[in-house]
Amino acid sequence: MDLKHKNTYKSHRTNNFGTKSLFLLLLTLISVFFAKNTLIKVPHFLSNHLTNFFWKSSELTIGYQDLRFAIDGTILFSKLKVSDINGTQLIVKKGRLNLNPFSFLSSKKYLLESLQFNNISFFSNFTETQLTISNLKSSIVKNNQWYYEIGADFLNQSLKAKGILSLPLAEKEQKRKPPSLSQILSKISRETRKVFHYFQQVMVKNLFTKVEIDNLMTLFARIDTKPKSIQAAKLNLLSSSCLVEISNDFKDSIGRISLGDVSCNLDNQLIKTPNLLAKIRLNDFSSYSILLSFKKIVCSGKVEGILEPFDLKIQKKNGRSNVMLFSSTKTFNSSLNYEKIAGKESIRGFLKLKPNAFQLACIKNGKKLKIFGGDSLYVNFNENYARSDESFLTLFSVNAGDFSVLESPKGNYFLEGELKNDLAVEIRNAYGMMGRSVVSGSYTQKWVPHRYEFKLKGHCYPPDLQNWLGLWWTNLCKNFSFPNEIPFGDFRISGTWGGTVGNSQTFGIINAKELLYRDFFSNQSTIVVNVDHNATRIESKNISHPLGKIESTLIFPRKHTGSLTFLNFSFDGSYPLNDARSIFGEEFSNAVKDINASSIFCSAFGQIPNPSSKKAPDIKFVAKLQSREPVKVKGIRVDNFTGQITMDTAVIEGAFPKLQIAKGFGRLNFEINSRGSEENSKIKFKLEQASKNLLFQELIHAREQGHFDIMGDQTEDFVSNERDPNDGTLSLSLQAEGPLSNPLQFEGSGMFHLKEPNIGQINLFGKISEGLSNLKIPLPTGAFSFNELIIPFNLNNETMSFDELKLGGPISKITSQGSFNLSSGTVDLIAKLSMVGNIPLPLIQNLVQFADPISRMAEIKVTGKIKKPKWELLLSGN
Amino acid sequence: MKKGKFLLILANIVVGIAIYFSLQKENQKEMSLDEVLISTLSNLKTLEIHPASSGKKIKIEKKSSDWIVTEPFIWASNKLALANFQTKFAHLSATRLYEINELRKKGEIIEDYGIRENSPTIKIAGINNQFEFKFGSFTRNENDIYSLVHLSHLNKKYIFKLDSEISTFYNTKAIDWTENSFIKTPLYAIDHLSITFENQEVKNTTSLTKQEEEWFFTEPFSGKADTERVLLLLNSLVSAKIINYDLNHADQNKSYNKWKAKLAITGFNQTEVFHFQETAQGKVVGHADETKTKFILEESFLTQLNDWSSKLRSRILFEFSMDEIQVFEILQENKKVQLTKTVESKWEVGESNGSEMTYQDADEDEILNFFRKMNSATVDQFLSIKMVEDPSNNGPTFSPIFTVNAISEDSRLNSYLFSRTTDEDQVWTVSDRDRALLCLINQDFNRLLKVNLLDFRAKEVLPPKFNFSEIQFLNIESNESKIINMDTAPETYGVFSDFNAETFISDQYLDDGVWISGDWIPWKYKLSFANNENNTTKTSDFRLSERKGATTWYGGNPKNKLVFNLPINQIDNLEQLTKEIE
Repeated sequence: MDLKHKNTYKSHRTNNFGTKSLFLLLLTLISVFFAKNTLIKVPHFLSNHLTNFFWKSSELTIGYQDLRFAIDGTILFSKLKVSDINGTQLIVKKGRLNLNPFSFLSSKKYLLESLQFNNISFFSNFTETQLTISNLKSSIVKNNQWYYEIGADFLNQSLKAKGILSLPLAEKEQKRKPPSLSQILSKISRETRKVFHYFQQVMVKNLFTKVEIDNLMTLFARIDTKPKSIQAAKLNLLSSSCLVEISNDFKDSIGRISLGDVSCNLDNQLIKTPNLLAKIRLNDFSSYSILLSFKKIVCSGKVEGILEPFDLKIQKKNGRSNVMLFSSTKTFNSSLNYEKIAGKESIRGFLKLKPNAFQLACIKNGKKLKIFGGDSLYVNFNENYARSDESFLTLFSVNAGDFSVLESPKGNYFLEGELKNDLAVEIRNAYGMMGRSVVSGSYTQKWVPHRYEFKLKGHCYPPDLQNWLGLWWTNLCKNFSFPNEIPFGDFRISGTWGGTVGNSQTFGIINAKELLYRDFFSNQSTIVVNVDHNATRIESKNISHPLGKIESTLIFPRKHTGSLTFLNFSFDGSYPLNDARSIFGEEFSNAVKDINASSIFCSAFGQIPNPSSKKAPDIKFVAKLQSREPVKVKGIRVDNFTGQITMDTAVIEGAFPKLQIAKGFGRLNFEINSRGSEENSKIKFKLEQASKNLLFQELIHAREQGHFDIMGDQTEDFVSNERDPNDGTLSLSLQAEGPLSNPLQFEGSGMFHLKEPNIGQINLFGKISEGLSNLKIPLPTGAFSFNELIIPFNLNNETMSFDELKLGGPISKITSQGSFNLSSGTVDLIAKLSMVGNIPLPLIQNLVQFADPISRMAEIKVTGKIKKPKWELLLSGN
Repeated sequence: MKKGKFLLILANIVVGIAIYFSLQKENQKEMSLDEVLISTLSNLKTLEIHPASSGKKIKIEKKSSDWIVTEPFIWASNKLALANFQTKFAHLSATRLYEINELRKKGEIIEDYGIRENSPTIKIAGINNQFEFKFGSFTRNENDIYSLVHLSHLNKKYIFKLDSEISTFYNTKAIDWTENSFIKTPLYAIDHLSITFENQEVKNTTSLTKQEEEWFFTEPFSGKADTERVLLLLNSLVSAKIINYDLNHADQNKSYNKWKAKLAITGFNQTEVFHFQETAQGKVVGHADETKTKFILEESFLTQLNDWSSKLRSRILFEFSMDEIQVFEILQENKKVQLTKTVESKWEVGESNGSEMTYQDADEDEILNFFRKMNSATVDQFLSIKMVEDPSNNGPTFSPIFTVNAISEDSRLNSYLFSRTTDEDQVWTVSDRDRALLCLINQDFNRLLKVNLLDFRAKEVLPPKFNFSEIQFLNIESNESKIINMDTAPETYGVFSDFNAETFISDQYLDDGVWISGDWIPWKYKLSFANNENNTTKTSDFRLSERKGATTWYGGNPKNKLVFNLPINQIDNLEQLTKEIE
C-alpha cells in the first residue's frame, strides 16, 4: 500500500512539474510572440563582457554608448568606437544589424541578414584627413548575394557605390579566421598616407566605375570631387568611365578607362586632351601591359600648340620591359621601342617629323617662337654592330634637313652616336650648318649625375644663336658685325644639368678675322674664353687693328659667388681712340669727346662694381697713358704726354708729369672728387716756354672748332704778322680748386708770363699801345713798346685779381693792380706808367723814378670789356 | 492530467510555429527597387534598346562570358560602353510617382506623360528580374524625364521621374555599343601576318613572320623586315576604327570595284582572316571569315594594306662589324684603302694609288667609328625589290664613284657601288650586289668615303717600345724649359706616358711650322722624350704649335713628317706646363 502511495505521489509530483514547465514555456513563448519587436537595452557591464567574449583582441579597444536588441534579431547601437594601439580610430555613430535567429536551422541561411551603419569616421595619426562613410547599407537579396550601398567622402573625393557581393555557400562552411581589424586599420592608414598628396591634386567629375570580380562582386561607383577642393587640383578628369575586371583568384585583371576631357595644370602650363583611352592588363602580378591612346593634346601657357595623336604601350613580361611609342600622322610618324632586359636598356625604331606642320610654340625672350620648323627631322635607332664596347647597344642617327629650332636660321644637321645600356649618350660625329654658321663636334651625356660635355668647332655667326640663348646674347651680338669671314671657334663645355650652381665649365678659343665692335674695327683677333666655378674670363693677347695691337682681359665673377664686383678688366696696347670711342660705353664716350687722338698707348686695369649690390665698392681703375702721336684736347694740340689717371672711391686723380704744348713743356695734375654732394676738382698746371704764336694758333684753331673763345674776332691781333715760331714765349702756371660744374667758381692762383717783342700789339686789354697812345701822354717814341708781361694773379669768385701786373719794355714799365671778371668779361685796373722804369739796376731805377714826373702825376685807369676797354688818364693831386 | 499536458504541449507548438512564421515573414520583407535594380544590373543578361522614331532595335546579349551585339547585326560588344551604361543606370536618380492604375483615378492617361506605343524603350533583363523603361516627355525644367517602368518581380507598372541623362542611351546607335576594332588578337601576341592583294591585273601576297621578337619577310622573298615599322603597321591595324556597319547583307562574292584584299593575322595559334574591298563610295568594307557582318573603314585604311614589300623592308643597308669582316676596301678610281684583320685579330690599314700598297697598324676605334657612320645610313627609297640572289646577275649598270668591298671571315664578298644621283652631295644611289638591291640614300658619302691611310693609322706617335725617363718641354722663342720626370712631376709624367695623337692631319711637316686649311701654324714649343738607358741618350722630339682651341693643339714629328692633333688629356697637361714656363 505504501509503495503505491509513494509511486502515486512521485508520479503526481512529476506530472505537476512537467505541466508547470510547459505552462511557463507557453507563457514565455506568448511573451516572445508579442514582444518580439521590443528593443531591450543591454546594461553596459554586460555588453562589455559580451563584446570581449565574442571579439577577443589585445590590439583593439572597443566601446560604445548604447546597445539594444530585440528577439527578432534586431541589434541597434550608437557611438561604437574601435581603436588600436597606434591611435587609429574607427567611430560609428549609429548602427543596425538584423540577425536571423533561425539561421542555425539551415546551412543555407546566414546569421546576419542586413546591416546599416551611419556616419562612420576613420581617424589616423598619420594623415590629416579622414575617411567618412556617411552610410553603409547591406542586405541579402538572394540566397548567396548581398546588396550593398556606400556613400563616402575620402581624400576630397565623394564616392557613391552600389553593388552585389556573392558569398558562395562553401565559404560559409569554412571557418575562416576573420581578418584582423587592427591590420585593416593600419593598412588603410598607410595607404591613405601614400596617396593623400596625389588625391589632393586630382579633380574628378562624373567618373563612373564598374568593378567586377568574377562571380564574387560587382560594384557600380560614381566619384566626384567635392567642390571646395576643385580649385587646388592639378589634374582634372571630366566625364570618364572605367571598367575593372578581376579574376576570382585575384591574379589577373583588366582595366579599361575612357577619360573624357583630361586637363593637367602645372606651373603656368596647361595640357588638355579631349579623350584618353587606356587599357591595363595585369597577369599574375609578374607581367602587365598598359596601352594609352592619346587623341590630340592641346598645350597652352609657356608652351602652346597641338600635339598629334599617339599611342603609348608599356609592358613587362618574362623579365623584359618595353615602352613603345606609335604615331601615324602626317606630322609625326614614329615607332619607338625602349627595352630593358636584365638591367640593360636599348632603343630601336624611328621618328619622322615634318617640322613645318608641327604646331608647337613657346615663349622665349619675350617672343612667341615655333619650337620646330623646316622640312624634315629623322631620328633612327638601330642595333649597333660596331660598338665601342659591349655596353653600347644602340646606334642612333639624327638627320635634319632645312631644319630650325626656335625660329633660328634653317640648316642641315647630322648626328651619329651610340647609346649605352643605361641610355648614356655618346654623339661622336655631329655636324650642323645653320645660317652662316658651320659647326662640327661631339657630345656626351651621362645620367645620375647628369654630366654632359660638348666639344664644338667651327665657324659660328653669333646672331644665328640668339633665339636659343637669353636676351643677354642678343644685346651682346647687336654690337658686333663681321664684314667678311665668320669667326672660328673651338670650344669645350661641360657640367652637370641640375647640378650645383656654377658647376659648368667652358673653355674655348675664337679666331676672328675682321670684326666690328660698335665703332671699333679689328682685322684679326684671338680670344680665349674660360668659364669656371668662379668667373667668366675673356682674354686676348692680340687684338689687331690698323693702328696697332691690344691685349685685354675681362673677368666677370659668376653671379652665385655673390661678388661685389661686376667686372675686373685689364687693357694694354695701342688704343685707337678716334675709331673706338664708344666701346666702353656712353659715359666714357662723353668723357673723351673733346679729345682727338688716332691712337694712344694705354695700360689700364681696374674693376667695375656690381650695380645690383648695395655694398659694392666704387669703380676703381688705373690707366697709364702715353702719346704715340700728337693729340688734340679741346682743339689744343698736345705733342707729347705721359701720365696716369687713377680712380678710387669716387676720386679721379690725374698726373701728367710730362706734356708738351706749342713747344713748351709742362705738367698737369688734377683731382676730381665726387664723394660729396657736388663734384670738386683741383688742378695744378704748369707750362713753360711755350711758343706764343703756336699756342695762340692752337687757341684759334680751338675757337674755330667751338672750344675756347678768349680772343674774340681779332684773332690776328694775337699772332705776329711774321709768324715767327720763335717769336715770343709764354709760361703759365695755375693752381686752382673748385666745382667742375661751374669752373667760374674756381679759387686759386697762378702766374702768366709772356715775353714777346711787341706785346703792345697784342690785343690784351684792347691793344695796349693803342690804349696808351689815345691817352695823349707826352712820351717819347718807343715809350709804348713793351716786351714782357708778368701777371701773378688770384682767382676768387669769378674774379681774377692781380696786385702786381707788370708790363715792361725797354723804356717804360706799367705796373698795375686790378681785377678781371671772368663771368662778365670786364676789367678794372689802375696802372702806373713809369718812364725808364724798367731799368734793372736798382739804384738807377730809383733815380729814374724820381726823375719821372708822369708816374708821379698820373695813373692809367682801364675799365670795361676786356676786348675793348676804356682807357683813362687820372691825374694825381701831387 | 495527460490531457492538460497534451494541450500545453500543443499550445507551445502552435505559439512556437506562430513565432517562427511571424519572424520569417518579417525577414522576408520586400526587396527595395534599388536592390532589385542593382541585382539585375549585376546579373545582366540582355539589354534591348528601341530608339526613338525609326531607329533599328539594338540588342546586346551575354553569351557565356562574352557580350555580343545580336541586333541589328552580330558583333562583339564594347564592354566599357556597357559598363558605363550599367553604372550610370545604377546611380540614376529615380522618383516613383504613381502606379499606372492610379492614373485613371487621377483622370490622367499615359499619353499625358508623353508615353506612347512607339516611345523609345530600354529593357534590361537579369537572371530573375526584368525592367522595361518606356520614355515619355521631359519635365518642365528638363532635368528629368517621365518613364513608364514595368517591374517584373512585382508585375506592376509605375510612372517614374528619371534623370534626363538617361535619354543619351536611347538616342545611341548600334555602333556606339560595338567593339570598334576588328582584330581581337593583341599586338604583342601577333606572330604572323599576310596580305593578298588582287585587282584586275595582278594578285600578290606578302607575308611576314616573327622570330625572337624580330620580323622577317617570308613571301614574296626572304629577308629582314624593319621590326619597328611592322609594329607600327600592326598597331595601326589593331587600332583601326570601324566607322560604320554595312547592314546590307549582300553576297560577299559580289564583284569588287577596283581591288580586293585578304588579311590574315595569327596569334595564340589562331588565325583571324579578314576580307576587304572597296565600296562604290570609295570606302573600305571588310568582314571577318567567321561572321557575316560587314564593317566599314576609312578610305585611308587602304594605305595600311598596300606596298608592304617596300614599306616594311629594313632600311638598314650596312651592318658592318669588326667581328665579321676580314677585309674591307674602299676604292675610288685608282686609289684603294684597305683594312685587313691579321691572324692575331689586329687590324692594318693599307693605301695604294695604283701602285704598291703601303701598310700601317690601324686604330680599331677609328675603324669602329667609320663602320658606325656607314651603318647609320638609312635607305630613303628602294629602287629595286628583287632580293633573290642570282650570282650571274651583275646588277644595274652605272659608273660608281666609290666601290666598297666587304669580305667576311667566311670569305664571302659583298660589294656596294656608290654613285651620285644629282649634283647634290647628299643623295646617292647605292647598289648592294649581294641582295641585288638598288636604293637611294641621303648621306654625304663623298665626305665619308674619301678616306686615306692617315684616317685609320694607329695613334701612337712615339717609336715602338720606346721607354723614356725624362721629358723636356721647351719654348722655342724664349728658351724657357721644364724637365719632367717621375720624381719631379709624377702626375704630368704619367699623362705623357700615353702620348698619342687624337687625329692625324697630314704628312706635310715643315721645320718651322705647317700649313693647315690655308693657315700657317708656326711651331712654338719643342717636346722631347729622352731615353737614358745604357749610358746613351736617345730622344724622340716633337714640335708643338701654340694651343689653337679647346680641343686643338697641333704637333709634328720631324722624323716621319706627320702632323697631328693632340687628345684632350694631353692638351690639358700641356696647358699646365705652358703656364709654368711662361
